[in-house]
Amino acid sequence: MLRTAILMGLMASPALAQSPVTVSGAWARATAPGQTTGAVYMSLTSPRDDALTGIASPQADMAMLHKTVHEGHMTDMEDMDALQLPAGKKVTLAPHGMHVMLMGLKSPLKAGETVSLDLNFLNSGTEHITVPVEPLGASGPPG
Amino acid sequence: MPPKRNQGLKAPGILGLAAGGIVIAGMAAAALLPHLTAAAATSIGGPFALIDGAGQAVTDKTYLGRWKLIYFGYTHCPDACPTTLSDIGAALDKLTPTERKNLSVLFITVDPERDTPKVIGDYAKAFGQEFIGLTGTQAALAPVEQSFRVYAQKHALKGGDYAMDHSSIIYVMAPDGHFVGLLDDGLSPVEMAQRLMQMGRESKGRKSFF
Repeated sequence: MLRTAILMGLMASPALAQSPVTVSGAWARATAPGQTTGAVYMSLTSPRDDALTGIASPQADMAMLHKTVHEGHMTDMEDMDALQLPAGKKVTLAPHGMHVMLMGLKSPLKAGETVSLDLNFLNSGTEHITVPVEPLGASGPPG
Repeated sequence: MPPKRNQGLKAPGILGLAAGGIVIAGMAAAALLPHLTAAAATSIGGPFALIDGAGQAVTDKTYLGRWKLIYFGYTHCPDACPTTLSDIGAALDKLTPTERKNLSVLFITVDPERDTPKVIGDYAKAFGQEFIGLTGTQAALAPVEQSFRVYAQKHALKGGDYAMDHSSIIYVMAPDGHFVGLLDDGLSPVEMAQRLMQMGRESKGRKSFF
């Protein structure tokens, strides 16, 4: 049944079938002078069980999934190998929590510009997204 | 190597508990830093000798007479530091110009290897005119971290780079240099501004800008 639905979806809308994960509220914070790392935040909703397994950006040497972990008042960053996306559940990357860390930025992230990311999903292939850069003082997506 | 978490805290004598306001601040601090007793928390902070963004030598005396928000972090920090500094900036925007006039935010690096005076100075300034970035040699920073009970530890990342695990908390210091209280980095800017104004009101007998 599910397979039929996916197959029908594939025929009706190939792009959607290849990338069924919905990305919403994505934003990156502008970097301060000298800052060569950046963070991108977003919400992901997959219609079926999936996982975000890799991220790449042409604007950074490396992009990886990180989680800021607060234990008491310590902050540690943990590497995450994959982000599980249970079917239908909105998973949010937000400040002081999970984020896409951009390491070795080739140029500063400036408010009003964008960041390109390729998100690799276990079951859904690669999805390309363009993320707006918000001012340094921003704490959430635009709007 | 950055110093390990300071575990050898000693509570000062009962006399140290005399001032009511300080005890309350200490209790609030102890609630946020569970490894501190209320009494130990009142002795947070101390003298320091560091370098500012202009390459000038500064000490704790440089900022006497000003309220200070002190936060330890590093410029390669992608999430916790810029988020907290952005939130502080937004909290300051909720104060009046008069309230802001006598306040500095000191961003002290835990990563002196990469945070040169210019790097940390330019970085901090980007969050607002009150923001001052400070660095120093590891030998100069170690006693500062110790006096603020800051934990900082290098942590290797995939690809050969490194991050710093560190205490993420905002220290509020009165114009006379005394520790007033802590702001949790998870507070919203509105809550931060309210706590700041409350701390200003509670610190009776001290020069207050509120």
